[in-house]
Amino acid sequence: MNGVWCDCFHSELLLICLSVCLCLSLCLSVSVSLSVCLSLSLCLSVSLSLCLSDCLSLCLSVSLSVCLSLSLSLSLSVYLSLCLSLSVCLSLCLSVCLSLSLSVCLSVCLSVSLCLSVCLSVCLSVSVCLSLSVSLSLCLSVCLSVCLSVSVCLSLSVCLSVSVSLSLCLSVCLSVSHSTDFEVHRNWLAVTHSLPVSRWYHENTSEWTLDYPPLFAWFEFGLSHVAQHFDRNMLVVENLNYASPATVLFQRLSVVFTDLVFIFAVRECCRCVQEQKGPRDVLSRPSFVLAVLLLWNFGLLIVDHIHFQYNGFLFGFLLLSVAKHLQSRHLQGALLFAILLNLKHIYLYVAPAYGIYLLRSYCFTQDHKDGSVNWRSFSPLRLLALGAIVVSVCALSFGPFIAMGQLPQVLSRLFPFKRGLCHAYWAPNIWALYNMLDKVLAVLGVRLKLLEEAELPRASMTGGLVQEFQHSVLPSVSPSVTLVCTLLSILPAVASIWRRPRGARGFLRCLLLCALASFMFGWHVHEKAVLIAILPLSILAVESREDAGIFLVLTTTGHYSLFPLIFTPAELPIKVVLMLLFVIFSFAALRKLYSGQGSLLRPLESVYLAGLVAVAIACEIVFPLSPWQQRLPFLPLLATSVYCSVGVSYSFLRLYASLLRQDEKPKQL
Amino acid sequence: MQTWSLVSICVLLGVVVRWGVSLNSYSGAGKPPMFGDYEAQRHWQEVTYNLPVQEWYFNTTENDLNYWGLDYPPLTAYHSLICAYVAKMINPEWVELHRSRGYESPAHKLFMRATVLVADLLIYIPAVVLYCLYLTDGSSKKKVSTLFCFLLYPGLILIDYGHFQYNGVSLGFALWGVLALGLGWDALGSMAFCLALNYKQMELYHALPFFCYLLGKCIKLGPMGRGFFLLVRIASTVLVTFALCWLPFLSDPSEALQVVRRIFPVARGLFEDKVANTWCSLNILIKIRSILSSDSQIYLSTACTLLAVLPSSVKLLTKPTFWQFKLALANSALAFFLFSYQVHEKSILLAALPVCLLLNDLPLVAIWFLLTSTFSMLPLLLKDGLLVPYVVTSLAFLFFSLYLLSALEHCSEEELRLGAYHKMLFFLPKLDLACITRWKFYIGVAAMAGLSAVSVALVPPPHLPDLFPVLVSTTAFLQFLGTFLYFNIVQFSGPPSRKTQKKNN
Repeated sequence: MNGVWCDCFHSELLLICLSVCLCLSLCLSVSVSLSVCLSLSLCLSVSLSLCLSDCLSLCLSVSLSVCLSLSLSLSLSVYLSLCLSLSVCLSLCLSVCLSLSLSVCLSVCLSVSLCLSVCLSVCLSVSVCLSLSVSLSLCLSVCLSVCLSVSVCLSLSVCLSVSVSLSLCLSVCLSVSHSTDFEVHRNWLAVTHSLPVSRWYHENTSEWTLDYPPLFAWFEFGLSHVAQHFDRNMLVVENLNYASPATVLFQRLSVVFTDLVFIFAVRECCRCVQEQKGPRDVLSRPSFVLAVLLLWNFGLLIVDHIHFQYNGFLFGFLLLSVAKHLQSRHLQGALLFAILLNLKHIYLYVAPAYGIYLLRSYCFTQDHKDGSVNWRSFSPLRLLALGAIVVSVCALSFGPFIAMGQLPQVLSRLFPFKRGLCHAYWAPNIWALYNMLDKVLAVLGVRLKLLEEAELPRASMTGGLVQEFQHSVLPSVSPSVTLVCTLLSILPAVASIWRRPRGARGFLRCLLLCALASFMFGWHVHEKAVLIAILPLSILAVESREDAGIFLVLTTTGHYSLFPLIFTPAELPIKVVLMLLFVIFSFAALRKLYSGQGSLLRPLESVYLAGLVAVAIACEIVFPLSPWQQRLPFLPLLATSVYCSVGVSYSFLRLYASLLRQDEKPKQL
Repeated sequence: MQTWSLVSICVLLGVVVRWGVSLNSYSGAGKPPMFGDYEAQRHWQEVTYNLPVQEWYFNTTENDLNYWGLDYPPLTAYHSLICAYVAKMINPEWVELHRSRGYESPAHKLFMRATVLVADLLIYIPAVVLYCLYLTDGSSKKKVSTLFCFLLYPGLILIDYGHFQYNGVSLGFALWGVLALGLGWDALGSMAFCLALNYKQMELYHALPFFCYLLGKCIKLGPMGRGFFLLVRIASTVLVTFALCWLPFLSDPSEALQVVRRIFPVARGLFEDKVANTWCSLNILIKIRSILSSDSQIYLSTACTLLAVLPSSVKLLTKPTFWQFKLALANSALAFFLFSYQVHEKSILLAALPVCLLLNDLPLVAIWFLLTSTFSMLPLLLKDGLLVPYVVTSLAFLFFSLYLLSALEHCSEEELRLGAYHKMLFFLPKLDLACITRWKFYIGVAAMAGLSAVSVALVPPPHLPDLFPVLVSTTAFLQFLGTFLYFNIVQFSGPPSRKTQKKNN
């Protein structure tokens, strides 16, 4: 018995010894091979370093970094695989044990669930990896696009890279201030992520309810899926005014990356610009100037990257659609515009221009010789195609809500007429002048004892939460009046392109006039809406001298009117310097573009623009130091909007004049 | 477009980037009890405003030198005094004696950042503009491109506007000195350099080339006639400038001695933190600090520094042209950085300035060096929470400089001045050195990007907590060493191309 036991023991010992020996030898061989490899690599590096005297430094650094990365990745992968195999083994063992002890079906269920959990964990890890890689690939794609553009199109590359890096810098570095719009978009992310679709337009925990069309809600829904990897807490509806560093980073980065649409659109627009013949300096080529004017647009930069909105993304669609029309690809243009309308309904302002132009120039295939409409050439097929595109896009976005019977609720959110005639800060339009006139009349009346001060309604001026504004002397304005004014002012422009369509450029002018007209006369217009006119006008500005003059007046005043949007002292240098940059570039570049064709501005216009500098100095530097700061805090806002509204109205009139003059020309011929 | 509009656009862009970086956090934000350099500068304002000049550099009951005592030369103190007067006008709490320690508020941060910007706008930026317009060759567009890259150098922006220091002032004065020497106004140049030296003692890194250039010029003009006259003029300018700067301390020699003792603290050790110089990198292999006594450490480092500086200085002395002067500035600053005693990681900015001057002549190497210098300060920047500005400004600088200076297109062997290498490596088969340099650049940039990503993303193993900073400093050191050798070889490899020569004569 003992002998047998001993034998067994011996054999076991032998086995153990053998296995230990094996293991040792394996380890040894591995280590030996590793050391051989190492020595080889060392030899290599040494020989290499010997080869090149100062190559040494690099080789060493490279080998260091390579070794480091290799070892890290190796250890990581080994660790991961170990974990995975362990978990799989564990689950298998568990399932086996369980199946032995419990009934068969239970074990199956359990093992399935275990397997599922394993699978899920694997999936999760994979998805995390994927999300990381997606962000990496995004970064890469940005780099690539920049590089590609460098090789493809020399002139564009400069401003592309400039704008990309600058916007990155601005948007990410400016993590200091958060505007209300920042909170608005965070809230929408939370609403779309954590609530079912049916609750989106009913949710009102925050005062910033979802008031964009459904397609934008879906866009936010998509963003929220990326956002959850940055910070989950920003997706909770109750977390009002939540702004952790990760949230800020994500929100700012989302603006930067969606700006890629804008960059692409700018490239398309630059391709449509008529180039003069002959080799010219890159800096004075119209396409380059246009690219800089669009990408460096002061308003877009501060509204998107400092104030926070997704305008670059939306304007990308608008410009892309304009570019498609310039390239005579009307259906694509219509599709893009339909998408744009369902992203943000403010673009309804320019919808009349689109409607009339497509109907007139696309559905009617031929004109009479004098340019008037040839009724017989109407093509119902084209109308049907257009209709199908628009209806299908709208159905896609509004369909679910119509199906749920929520259309009235959605529309009431989209068109809130409960707000006042003017925003808290008056946009520089006709109503600002009207309000000012009212105020002046009221003060004059009191001074001249024509009016009793007590009888006047208590009018709150700009700056304050009271949205209603009652005029004291002049009749109050109702929404329907503004609507009628807007329609009346749009009518001549639209009629002009109906009577005599002058191709896509005539359409662009009409679009501009629609945008400006609704800016001038609209109900509760934001000052940011002036960008809808400024951006398309840049395209015309690089093609004709007269438009360039109008462009300079409109952009300078329109951009200056955005100054009150950014009000913290820390951001004051940035807004001033960016504005100066844009002004200097636009003046110098356009002057160079039309060198030898006389000055771009009339004397009076120059005086007016110089006055803007005086207003700026008075409002930003003199006023805060003066004693009026306490008594009349709204005075700079008032002065800014009234002064700017003069310039905007003037350029509106000049644009109209240029359209109507073009109308006259064919008759004279 | 006219040059003036391009120049103004470049300057405005530089200002925007500076101000954008300045909105980020600063060193020691919200970290009592010692805070960081920001608090040091604020404390100096407090001290200089409230105490008489005689007490600034002395440890008294009112002035605790252990809490950020003043250890820069008098001009810094005067600058602090001026800033303090402005601060007092805005908000007296900012400079109240003792009670304002550790004062932090958004308004105060804005004020401090604005002082840096104002100093930069007054001193550094005009010097850069004038240098690029008058002392670089090529078309006006090329000049503007150089100007833009010069202004966009990320290291200086990150340290001055992120970390918080006034390097722009001392470097700006030094640049004014270079500018004046380049235009032939020797006395003015030496005065500007004395001002730089009196603002920050670190400017000694540049002192030897200035001295050798001026001395060499005097010798060339004839040691007895005009040369002697020039020497006397320069010497008197230097003496008068120094005397004016040190006027309040000259009444009592002990005071002046105390100031000098404060400015050159020898007790602080061979190096601090993780610097990308020789001693710190050697420390991985040999623990010098424990082997040698502190005295012998000083002797060793001084000897090495002198040895490293000697070749370029001698060459400059025998051949004082502007081209040699620029190279000697880079070589001397690098030699001091690599071998001298008590080096900060921020001192690399002193080497970066002369390399910026070479941006137009040797674009590829200069860009590479400037990127590496920014990278070498990575641990410091990470500590200050400046990761995002670091990434953005470095990427922007890389893109712009490569594109605007067309660095990768212009890198034939002739343009890289690699001729001397062929002579040195006669025993090897003929190699395409330009191609190798380009690949080294790619690999170097990739290694820096990889190490940056790794040190941000990964946690070092517990038994090697300093792994990534050491790797960063070693990688940077190797590249600095390579650049140092390269610049020395270029300086000795004969005259530059004809154009530059013509310009300098």
